[in-house]
Amino acid sequence: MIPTLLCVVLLIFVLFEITPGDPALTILPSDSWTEENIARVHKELGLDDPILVRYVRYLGNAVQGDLGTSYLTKTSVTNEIAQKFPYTMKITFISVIMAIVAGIPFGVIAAKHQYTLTDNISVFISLLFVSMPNFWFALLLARFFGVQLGWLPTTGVETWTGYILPSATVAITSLAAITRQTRSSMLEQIRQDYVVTARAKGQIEGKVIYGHALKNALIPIITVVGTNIANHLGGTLVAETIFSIPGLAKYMITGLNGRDYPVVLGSVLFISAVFCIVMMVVDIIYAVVDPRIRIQMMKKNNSGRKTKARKEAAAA
Amino acid sequence: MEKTAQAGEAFLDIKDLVVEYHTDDAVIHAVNGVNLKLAKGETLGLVGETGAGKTSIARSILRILPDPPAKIMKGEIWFNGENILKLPEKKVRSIRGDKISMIFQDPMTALNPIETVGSQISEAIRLHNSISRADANKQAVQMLETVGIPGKRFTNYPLEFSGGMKQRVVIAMALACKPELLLADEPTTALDVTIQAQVLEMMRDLQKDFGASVILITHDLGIVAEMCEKVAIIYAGEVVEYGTAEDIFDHRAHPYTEGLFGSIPTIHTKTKRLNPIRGMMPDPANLPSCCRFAGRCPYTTDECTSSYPEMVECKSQPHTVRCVRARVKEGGSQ
Repeated sequence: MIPTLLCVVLLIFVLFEITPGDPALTILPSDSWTEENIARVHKELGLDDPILVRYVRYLGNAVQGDLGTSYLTKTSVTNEIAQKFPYTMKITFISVIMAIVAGIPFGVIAAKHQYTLTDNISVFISLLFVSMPNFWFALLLARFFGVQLGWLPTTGVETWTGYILPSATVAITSLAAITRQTRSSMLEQIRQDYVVTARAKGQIEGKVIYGHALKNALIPIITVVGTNIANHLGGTLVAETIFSIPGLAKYMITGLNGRDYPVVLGSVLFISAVFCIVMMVVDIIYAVVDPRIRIQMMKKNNSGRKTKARKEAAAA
Repeated sequence: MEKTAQAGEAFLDIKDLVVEYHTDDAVIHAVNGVNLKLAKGETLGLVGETGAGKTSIARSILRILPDPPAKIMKGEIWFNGENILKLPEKKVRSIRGDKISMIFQDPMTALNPIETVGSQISEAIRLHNSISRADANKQAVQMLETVGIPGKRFTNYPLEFSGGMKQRVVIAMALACKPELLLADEPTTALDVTIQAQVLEMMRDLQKDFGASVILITHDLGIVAEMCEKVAIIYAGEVVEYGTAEDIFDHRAHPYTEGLFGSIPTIHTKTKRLNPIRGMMPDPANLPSCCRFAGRCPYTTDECTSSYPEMVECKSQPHTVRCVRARVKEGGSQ
């Protein structure tokens, strides 16, 4: 996880280095664009130092929780992120829940009724959702639920209802991905012998499908959900912009437009860290869901301990 | 009325069972008018080569054929005076795993890989007995010990067991509710010979203890000799010969049965090459209307390729055979 984050920061540093444009020009009003002023700003911001020095200095600060100060607003990036991330997190979280709650049953139903009308409809809908650009979908939602029906607010998140439309926007793409993954991994599982065994025991069909087959089908579904969380973090960008939510993604875009390097760096680093943590949690969930993985992990630990013990014994 | 009429008869009575598999481009005739009877406590061996329809027959009894593509087109399966094929699904479910249970062919895949073996056994117990989870678990532990697995392995997962142990678990699961009828679908095919012997011996002991009737599906005549009282030879989805094990082993009448026995090498004579039955089973999607064995039979006559043979009763009851030669033979000797 740590090396990943180091690479992320390095990559952004290099990218900024090779992109044209000077933050000093955005900071200074255009009538004071003199060489002198620009040099002064460069010096203030420490932009004259070589890239490696800046990189190490940035990392040193970041470890202490200081992600720098915005060039434009002169506010602490750490504080801003702490303030804005909850919005993004809530949207991401709600949208993941939405996608799972709708996607898995859809997929199961499609698999159970393979090659029937139900299956075709569900495949069609998921294909439609996958291919629909989500900014357009967001506008449709806003127009229908916000303007025509007037049920839900189209801007801001003063009340919890404000989260529904943005979350739905984000959920839509991964809902389709989850549906399709669930369908295909369920199709694989319901042909397995143990499913017949469960039926032969006299188990009711619902339990056979959801209790036995779905549990086994979960591993690839969890993988898809995990990787989709990354998409969700990115997808909030569209939702935050369209529904005017002061979230992290919007903060990052503002920073990008203004060449506000600390803002961009800080946000990207933070999101990468969140994503790394999510992936770690996904790995842990694997072990919780699948005893095969759990047992393997336990064996590895045991054998590690054994060789250690053996070495110690040999040393003694 | 029919119910009472049936009650006095056989414990399991399969009448004219027809199973077809409907795929996009063909209809596969897996089981074609099979009649079988089984008395209480009896062991019936279903013998035939791969694809003969043995498993389809067994799965029809439990109504667990994969639908689609499999369809039971015709027939009656009377069990304890009830036609299983006419019962509502809920009723069948209460029979499955309780009155009738099944041991599956491949223990490697028959167990749910992510549930402990104990919970899979106690699941069967709890489905058919209204007892607490703790009591069901206690019974499951007992079942494990009955099949020779230490009770403390209750919480282990299938991947922590060897193939033979898994098959024991599958058997424990099948016997958990003390079924009256046990369908054993090639219970030892996936196991090596020493484990085979152990598992068979265990099954025989358990059958004695529980008093269950057994339908044993196999293509191993050695197992039949050891385990079965009655034998049905299945070929291309129909019974070609049926009788007691003695009849089949000593007075076999169908050329296919002869071929099966002929392909076993004996210990007393020197055999350089095995002696297989030549040719292949007819394509079940395209069965001949005459005798289905005619294409491979060494005694084929014009009658064999022009008409469909009926079941003929042999001298010693209840020995029947589907072959014109037998009719001639039997007719001649009467």
